[in-house]
Amino acid sequence: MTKVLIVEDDVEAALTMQKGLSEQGFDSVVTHDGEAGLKALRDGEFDVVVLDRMMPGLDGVSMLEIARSEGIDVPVLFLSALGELEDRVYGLKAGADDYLVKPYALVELVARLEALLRRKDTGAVETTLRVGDLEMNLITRVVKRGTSEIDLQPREFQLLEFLMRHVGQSVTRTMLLEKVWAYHFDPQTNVIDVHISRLRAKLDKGFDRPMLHTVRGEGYQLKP
Amino acid sequence: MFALPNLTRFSLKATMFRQTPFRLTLMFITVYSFVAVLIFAYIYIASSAETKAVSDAQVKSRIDYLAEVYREQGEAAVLETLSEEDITEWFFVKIAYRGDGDILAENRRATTEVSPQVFDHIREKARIVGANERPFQINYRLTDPSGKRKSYAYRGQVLTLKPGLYLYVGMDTSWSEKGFDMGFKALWGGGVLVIVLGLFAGMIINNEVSRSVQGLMQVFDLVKEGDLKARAKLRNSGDEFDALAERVNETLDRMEKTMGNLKYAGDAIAHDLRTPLSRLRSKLEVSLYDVEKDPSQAPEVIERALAETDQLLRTFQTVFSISRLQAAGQAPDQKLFDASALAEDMRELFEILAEDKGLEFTAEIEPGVKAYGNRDFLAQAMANLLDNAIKYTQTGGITLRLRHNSRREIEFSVTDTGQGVPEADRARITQRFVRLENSRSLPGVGLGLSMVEAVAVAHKGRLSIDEGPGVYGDQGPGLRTALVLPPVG
Repeated sequence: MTKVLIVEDDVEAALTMQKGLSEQGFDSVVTHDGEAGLKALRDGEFDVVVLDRMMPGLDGVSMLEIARSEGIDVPVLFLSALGELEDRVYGLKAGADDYLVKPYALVELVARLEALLRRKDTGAVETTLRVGDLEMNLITRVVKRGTSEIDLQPREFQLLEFLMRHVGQSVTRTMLLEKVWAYHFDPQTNVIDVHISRLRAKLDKGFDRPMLHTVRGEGYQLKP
Repeated sequence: MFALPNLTRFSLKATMFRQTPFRLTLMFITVYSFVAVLIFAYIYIASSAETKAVSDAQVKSRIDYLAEVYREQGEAAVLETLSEEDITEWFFVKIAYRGDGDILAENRRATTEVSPQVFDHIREKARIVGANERPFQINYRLTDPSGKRKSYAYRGQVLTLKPGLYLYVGMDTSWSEKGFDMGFKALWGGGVLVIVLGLFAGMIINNEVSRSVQGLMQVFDLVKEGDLKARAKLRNSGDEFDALAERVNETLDRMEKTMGNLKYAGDAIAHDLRTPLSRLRSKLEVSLYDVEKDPSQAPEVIERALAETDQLLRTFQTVFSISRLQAAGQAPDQKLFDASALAEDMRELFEILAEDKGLEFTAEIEPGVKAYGNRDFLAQAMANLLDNAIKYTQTGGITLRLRHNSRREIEFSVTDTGQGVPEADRARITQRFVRLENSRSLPGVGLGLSMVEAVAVAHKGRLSIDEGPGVYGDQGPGLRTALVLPPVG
């Protein structure tokens, strides 16, 4: 079972998060300040950390900087009420792997944690991605489903690559805009949906079994 | 925060010695005195060594001469030679005496100046030093019968002609001593004058400076206590203190304005959020009835409430961003970036959204346009313009354009063939939460253009809203919105 360390000074928020994560199959330990968080991190084995930025005493950024300087390289997701861009950049510079703004949706948190865990797994440089009968060659940039080649625009290629790398996970619209288009704003409208439906049309057309699914209230998921 | 001394403690007299200008004066005086003493000591040491060497040589030549006279011509000749007067011998005291102290001969200077007690002094000194050995110094002061004090200084040597017969030759060195005396007096007098005047000047400067500083301190104290309207008085003297006071006032102006903006933003947010919150509340209330009637509806009702909350949070985030931009006055993290590439991204992102709705999408992007700003905020603003255009256009098309206008400003415009906005309403639609009558049915809360305008202003640019291309089918005249940024460089 995946083990998550939650460092969050708001006790109620931390417990809600713990409950929510346990529903999603994550085992988590909660600490309420930076010092305790750092101690838990030094002592225990965690797969991923959810770290609040503003805490009394040792704040999230300082705690992370200390942990990173000690060679603790567990993936860290910053959780903060400070959502403006400069705050985000500052958090990532301190050594965080991702940044989520409060208030957040549980599905968004889970999606991002899964993405972080996935990132940790991939060690070797891949040249080909495979999901079911879908195959993507990262060198020649040829995408095939079964035997038929799929013609994709550059952005569609990136979108599919991201989905393939996160196969089986829900990815949210915000994640896609952030990771595929590299924009950090709230898309507000269905602009991402339209791109997904374009991709879906190319991907699933002529096949009985659809691969690209819409997960209600969450986002999208690529399934083999 | 500044650590400020308490004003009541800052009285001139009590703390003068701690104040900077006065301390600087004291330091100057100390350094000055030290250097003056050092220079004088050097001169004194160097020249008194010189005086000593010169007089010793002079005395020696006379002693040698008299010894020669004694050797060649005998005692009587020495005594006669010794008392001879010559203009060149004016500075010398010459005495021949016996071991018991009887004076056998002396020159005139010795007669007029060397009293018995001085002579005893010479003999005593000669005995200690030893005749023929080396020169020695005699210093003494006398008060003559008229009460006048006089000081004498001789540098001399004793020669033993034969046991019991001695010769003393001394040279008057009081002229040199006198010179030094005068020098010392001048130094002390001047020194005292410098110190007194320096202290006086220091006090004046100190007074002047502390008056200026005190004014600033008072202002800071008032600000510390929460009076942001306190300002330092300018004396229009054009000096550094005036410049400093001016700087302080400018800073306070800015702080006051920012605080005002923040307060306004806070009030506005509170006001803005009351509406959607009360809407959410009444919806939840109604939902409760629904669930009571049919409990199986619960998940659906909660899901709706969640979606509503998400919308509210999104609204809050947008209002927050707008307020923060307005309060800051300028967008953070501004850089030179490729505006053409950004426009291309926007085209790629929104083109299919328009096509999906059956609208024609045209993009005219001038290549290589560089703009200065925060890419993410500008992307958000452009996205809002495109989103609006697509949302409010039923037939026809959208044109995205990026170009330098005739004033070299960078203009990102979106033109649609929708219904447009009556001129009277155009100023209003950039206000927060303003939605026109015919748009109520469409999704949105009325923050899109407020955000665009806030972003434009935060880049020293503007949002211009004009009529579109004209009537299109049963629609028209359309709308042209443009985000205009100042020229680069």
